[in-house]
Amino acid sequence: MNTRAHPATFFAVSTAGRSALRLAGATRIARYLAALGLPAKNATAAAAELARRAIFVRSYADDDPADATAYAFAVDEVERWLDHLAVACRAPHDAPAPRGLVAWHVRSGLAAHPEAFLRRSGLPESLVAAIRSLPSSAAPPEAPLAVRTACLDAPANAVRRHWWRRPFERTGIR
Amino acid sequence: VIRLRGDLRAGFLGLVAVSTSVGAGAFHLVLAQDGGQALDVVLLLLFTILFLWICVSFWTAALGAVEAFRLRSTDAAGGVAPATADESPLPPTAILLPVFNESATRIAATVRAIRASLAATGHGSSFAFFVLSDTTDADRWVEEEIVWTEIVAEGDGPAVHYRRRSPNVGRKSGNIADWCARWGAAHRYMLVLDADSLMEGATIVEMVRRMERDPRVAILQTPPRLVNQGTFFARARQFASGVYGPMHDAGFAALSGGDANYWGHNALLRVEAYARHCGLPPLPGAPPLGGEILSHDFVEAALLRRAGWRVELAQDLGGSYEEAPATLADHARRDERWCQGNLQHLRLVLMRGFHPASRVHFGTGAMAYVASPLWLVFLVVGLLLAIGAGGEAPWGARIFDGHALALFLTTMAMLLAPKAWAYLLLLRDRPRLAAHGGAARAAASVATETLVSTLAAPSFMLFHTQFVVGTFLGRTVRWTTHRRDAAGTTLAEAARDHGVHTAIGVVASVATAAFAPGLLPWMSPVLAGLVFAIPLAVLLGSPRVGAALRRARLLLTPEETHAPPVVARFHRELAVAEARRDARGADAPFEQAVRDPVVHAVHVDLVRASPASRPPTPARRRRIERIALRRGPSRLTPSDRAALLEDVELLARLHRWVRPT
Repeated sequence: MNTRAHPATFFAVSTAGRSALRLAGATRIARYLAALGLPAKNATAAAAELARRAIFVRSYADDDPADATAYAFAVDEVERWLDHLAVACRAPHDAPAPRGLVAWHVRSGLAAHPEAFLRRSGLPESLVAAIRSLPSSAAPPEAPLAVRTACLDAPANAVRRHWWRRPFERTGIR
Repeated sequence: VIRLRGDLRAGFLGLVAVSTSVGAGAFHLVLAQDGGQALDVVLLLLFTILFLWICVSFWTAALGAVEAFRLRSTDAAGGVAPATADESPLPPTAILLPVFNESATRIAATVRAIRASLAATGHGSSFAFFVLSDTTDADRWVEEEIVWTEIVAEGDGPAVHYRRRSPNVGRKSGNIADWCARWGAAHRYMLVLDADSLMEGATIVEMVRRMERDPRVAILQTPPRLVNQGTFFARARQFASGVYGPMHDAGFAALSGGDANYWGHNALLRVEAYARHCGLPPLPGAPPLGGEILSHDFVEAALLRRAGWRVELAQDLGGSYEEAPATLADHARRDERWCQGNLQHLRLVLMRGFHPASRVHFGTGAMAYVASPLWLVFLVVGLLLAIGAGGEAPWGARIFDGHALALFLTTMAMLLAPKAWAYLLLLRDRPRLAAHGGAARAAASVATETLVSTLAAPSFMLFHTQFVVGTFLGRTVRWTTHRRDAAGTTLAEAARDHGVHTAIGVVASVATAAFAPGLLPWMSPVLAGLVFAIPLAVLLGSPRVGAALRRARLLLTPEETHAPPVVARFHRELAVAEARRDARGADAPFEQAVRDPVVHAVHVDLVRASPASRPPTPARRRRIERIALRRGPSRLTPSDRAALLEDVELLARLHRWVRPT
């Protein structure tokens, strides 16, 4: 599914109004980045930059309302960066780390190293080490074992009429 | 050993049969004093069944007392597992924690406490935790994911895995079967826990060693001691579990040997045997007596026994804990589900191939609840007989004469003697006695517990009667979560839960006083328990009263005096987990899965790693999307929230486009 296209009803907005809305979007983005772990000052600056860049990205610039499209652009940028970290910080033959666990470590890493935000190289060694040690999945590789369904519908011999008849049948008594 | 066990069982059955016959004979003589009446036969039959039940419990306790005296120790509650010198590596063992709408902070604290305890044994690498979620509540689901991430991010110790499934077919047993089907081949053993279970690492290691030594054992059950609750009622039950429990367990273990039972948690199971024999089919017919098997544990033990495996109770192992319901009503709510499950077992008693001991377990499990309506009918018939005799019922009016007096005293002695034996055993064990508050306070605690259980019994009689009758009339129970941190019972709650009991008690008291006053002394404990059921429920459900009694060193348990390491660690971890939860902000966890970048990413990962779930229909999807975008995710219904969490594509879309709060 395309997660970029805005699904709600749109309103006609002028170009100037759109720019104003993009700035409003920057406030939302700043809150989002703060939730990611970026200190407030760095989050504001990074949000303004992302909102500005969103104007020049065609697939976002075409959408409205503008604050929402800027926000969606920022979310995509952050997720692309997390996916990059999930691969780049791992040993060559390791599977990528889960994005959620990467984000969890990024949250604490950005508080100490805000300059690392969206950076694809020269990352803090502590963050790289933390991501490298992450498991590749919430669950280990599957090792299936067949579970056989037990039979619970056969009555005991003692409650079957046939079982009581058998001694008599052996002796020929009916 | 087998012959000795057989002799022991034969002796036990003989004692039960003789004592029941003597009791029934004495009751017949009492009834015969006033000539025969038609209802006398009913009364005699009911008395015989109920007296048989008392005899079984009495002789089991007697055997336990003898065993405990013989072994010169009853301490299975001290939290110390027998140490073994064997340091060889252990086989891979999974620790399964099936959860359903539980508090995630408690789960986190449980995992962290047991994990640390296992790591301290030096065998942590042989174990892996699996949190197997059947949770349907959106907030609790996301909170589980958050605490799992926190635990994994901590790094050290045995691995902790998380898996949520939907739909949750087969409830807990289906959850475990699903784990076997996906990861069973990689593990030799699985330790099954409940959400309120705690176990010391040393105990778990010892259990694995014992299973390794005896490859015939498929289930090794530990007797969990009750801990962590603070209400008057729960503390009384914890005290009973600590003082009487070891003796009863010793008796049960001596009788059962390799034919013991499985209680559904705090037990180690051999994975391959379980997978081969314990896939549970639905019972023929419709619920409540047919359909999905609710109390799976007894059935699984019976199936393994049927296949020739041994099921053992490690009654000498300490370090195994669980929590009791905090209030009378909470206890009754749990009993409602157990009652239906145990009554289902009646359909299995006569199924082919089960060991006689398993049939006895099925029967006694059902009898634990069926005894209540039988007791109620016994009381009502006795009252009717007395009223019919113009208030001069012989066994009521002449209760202090001859046979009636002897029978009354004998019955009371059989009910109270096990408590006295347990107290005497306690006196022999100085450290344990000190942990229970000393000789005088332990005696006062035994008296208090006896009073509590006596006064609460009539309410449970009516609750259980309601459940048994309801089950036979076709009423099914819902799968709900236990209330584990009750703040007490308010007067309104007590009136709602026990109002009918009080009304019945008042009517029965008036009828007895008016038409059969000679019965009043006989009936007074029952009538008092019913008439005062509401204030009693408030009193027993009160954490403040429980705390006051604790300050007075009454109903004290060793776990309260010196918290075992895993219990102490659990409380520390719970405090930390709750502080972390509070620090995560005001947004509900579900809202965080929609808006917060980290929680959203964690959730999407975990859903993608889980077995495929049922996506919402396109129409429902559109509705969820419309409501979430226009009015906010918080306006979604609980069911729509869960559906949204399962649909990661839609969730990712809303993560980008949903309006700020």
